[in-house]
Amino acid sequence: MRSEKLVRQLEETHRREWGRSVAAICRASGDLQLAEDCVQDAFASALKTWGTSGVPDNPGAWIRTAARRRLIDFIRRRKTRLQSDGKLRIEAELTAIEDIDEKYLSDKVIDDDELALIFLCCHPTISPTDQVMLTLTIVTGLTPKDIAAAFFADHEAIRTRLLRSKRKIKAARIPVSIPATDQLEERSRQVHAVIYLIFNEGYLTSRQENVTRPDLTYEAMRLCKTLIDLAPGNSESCGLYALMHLTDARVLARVSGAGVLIPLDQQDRDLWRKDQIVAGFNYLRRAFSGGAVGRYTLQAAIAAEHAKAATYEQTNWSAIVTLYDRLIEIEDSPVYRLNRCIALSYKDGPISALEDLALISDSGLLSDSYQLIATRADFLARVGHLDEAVKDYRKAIDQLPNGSIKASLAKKLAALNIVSD
Amino acid sequence: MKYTYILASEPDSGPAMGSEGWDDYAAAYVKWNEDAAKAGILCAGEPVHPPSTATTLRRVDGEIKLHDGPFAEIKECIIGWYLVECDDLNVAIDWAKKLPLVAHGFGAIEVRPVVDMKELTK
Repeated sequence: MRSEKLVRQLEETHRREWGRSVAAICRASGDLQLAEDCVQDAFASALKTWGTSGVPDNPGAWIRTAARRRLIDFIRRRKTRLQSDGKLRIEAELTAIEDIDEKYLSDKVIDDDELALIFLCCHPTISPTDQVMLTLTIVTGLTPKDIAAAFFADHEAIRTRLLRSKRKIKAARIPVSIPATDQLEERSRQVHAVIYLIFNEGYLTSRQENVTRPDLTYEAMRLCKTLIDLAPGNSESCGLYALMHLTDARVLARVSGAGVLIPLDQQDRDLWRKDQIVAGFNYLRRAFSGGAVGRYTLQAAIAAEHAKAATYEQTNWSAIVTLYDRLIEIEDSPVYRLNRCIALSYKDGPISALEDLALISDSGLLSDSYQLIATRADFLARVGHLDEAVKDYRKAIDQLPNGSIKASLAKKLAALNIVSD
Repeated sequence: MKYTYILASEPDSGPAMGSEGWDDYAAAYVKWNEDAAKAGILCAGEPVHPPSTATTLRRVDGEIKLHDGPFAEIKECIIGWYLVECDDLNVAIDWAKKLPLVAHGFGAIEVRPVVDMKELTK
């Protein structure tokens, strides 16, 4: 077989089967690091043998069988070093591993293992940043080097963090299990948060400058799809998946050739990816047909309203204001309030929006953030108070470090100066 | 699997002994102790006197020095400890959540896994 094709097939198998295999081996070994090492070894031997023997019909099962063999070897080797009472315990362990051999063939069992592994990586006793790192390594199979590249971080620092988290999981015995029904919703929310963090890290940082950097938006979406397949009962997972599709649909329209961020109202809507929008709508429907509507579903519904509108002016602003109202009921975040206020400025006009904005400003939640000031500048300009608008734009620009947001505000300021001159 | 709960609170955060609310608060602890004992997870536990009664030992330049006070000067001080035996961290946290100290919002609990000497020889 040509080696190029083999490498591609191995990569494909790695993407699909890494997390599942670690999960299955982890159930047998009870040791995450050991499970990862065994699966890693299995992939190494696949690279050696698949070239001559060909790719097996069920590559995942092949990997798991090889990894399980590694695990048994490892435990046997440990056994020879132990005293007699330890040997008895290891004997029992080996029997247990051999007994569950049959179960490796059952996809349903591995599905549960994989889901439990996702919940382990997103366990609330681990810090959110470490949850992200763990999920990316253990579930999606990125290496510490990949993660360092994705987050522009130091490789050694990432490795140390991962080791620390894995040690905690082992020492404190954080269980690899699907949460009990009464905790499932809360724990699922944490998994969603981790997926969305990964997505935003990929989406908000520019992708062009480094082609070898792993695509985190892709990883986040793949992870979310896995979650939907494993736990189809959670409609909010569909909402999150829809949101990511609808956001990613705009990726080509959101940055200019010069790297300047293009705001929604100035984006060329022909550049929005139709396939992503259609997929987003489909999952949004699934999300709304499920039970309670959560924050990601509502955010997806807002993105869907934008996707539906032929132009920015034709957006159904009153629907968007209503959706923000529902969102604020779930989580009263200043960012939601500000965005609601912007929608309100198109629904009821900038004068009443200015009053609403003053309320947000008085509440002190966003105090003097550049988002609030730039929004006020926009409202003022639309009302015709150009001098005040210029003053606010300057104030917002002064707060920002160099970057595409600053550049986009500077552009608005320049346009205003031309008008007022 | 054994875990320790290290209980800490700021001085005077809970009701003082004999003050209003003390009886309810103390009863909540008694109930937790009984529930935990009944569930078979409670191994041991004691409250300790305030940090002003502590003596800290440390070897400095080959000599063991005594220091009048706790080893760390922090706003919260250790007020007691428990030793529990649970299946995993989830169970240990569920029980810790019910302890009156955090349930009533008077302090913090640090949950630490206890080293199993048998595991070390594995």
